[in-house]
Amino acid sequence: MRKKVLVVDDSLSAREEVSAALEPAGFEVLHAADGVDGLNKIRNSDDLAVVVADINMPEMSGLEMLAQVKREERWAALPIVVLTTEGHPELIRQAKSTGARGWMVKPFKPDLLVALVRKLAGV
Amino acid sequence: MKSCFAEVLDDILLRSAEALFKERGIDLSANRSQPPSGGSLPPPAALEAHVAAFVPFSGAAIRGSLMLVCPFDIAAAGRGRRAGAVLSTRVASDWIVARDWVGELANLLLGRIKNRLLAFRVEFSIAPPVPLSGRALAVALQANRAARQIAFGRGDQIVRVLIDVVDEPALMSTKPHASAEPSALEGDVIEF
Repeated sequence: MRKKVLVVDDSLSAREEVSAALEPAGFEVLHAADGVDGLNKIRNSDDLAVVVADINMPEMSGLEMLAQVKREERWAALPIVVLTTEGHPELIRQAKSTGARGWMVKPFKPDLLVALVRKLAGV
Repeated sequence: MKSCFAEVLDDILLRSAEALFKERGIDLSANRSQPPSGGSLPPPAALEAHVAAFVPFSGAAIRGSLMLVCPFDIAAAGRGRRAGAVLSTRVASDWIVARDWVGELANLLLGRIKNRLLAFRVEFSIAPPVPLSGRALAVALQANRAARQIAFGRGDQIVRVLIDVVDEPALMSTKPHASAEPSALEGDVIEF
């Protein structure tokens, strides 16, 4: 069975770029349009392997979503990768301390995204 | 060393915009335009389809907005390489996708600029992009504002990038701070 990856980004185009990278590598990719949508989809899924989330989104930022997910023991081990245009060292430190497993700066290299997601998904 | 911060910003804007399109297989020749003194920019070719995105940003020492105005065909060509079928102006839903895509392009561009300005200790937050579309889009700028404009051409198609910065940019550093912590840049991967 294909491992599931949730991509959380307010841009459909950005989500489709992630899908275009991960689906040929054997992953099933689910979409969420902002942090609130992402949080709901995480809470309603039992079999997500990895979450890939943007930072700057309306409704709820990726960092806020990350913090809320990591506050729930059930999702403490779910690997979350930040995929964003942001490269500020303080934001990166914040994501790491909140429990993110990786940080990628857009535009991403598809092979590097696939390699990181495979590693985190245990594939 | 650049003589004033506006030149630093121009240089970063030019390089960032060129790289953004080149990565998507679109070579655009840049024409550095004089900042407009006000009024409308020259209108595009009649009825040419455009998509555009406006992205506000704000920080302690700098605030403003970036606008990317792009012919539909160029935006579609840049997207098509990774995300499937090329968009068409004849398909209503493709306009929605093209607006979303130009919003992401503007976000990528301003993110790239932001990461380079960190070396000058210039920091700001970026709001979500506001995309728009239409035919023969024209842009009007207020007079006496520190607007920078770069126009790129491919044939008679022009991509315009405008950045409008306020709050005394000339007072800020014109060279990178040696002690500034380096930011992560495009394509970087950091594993925790």
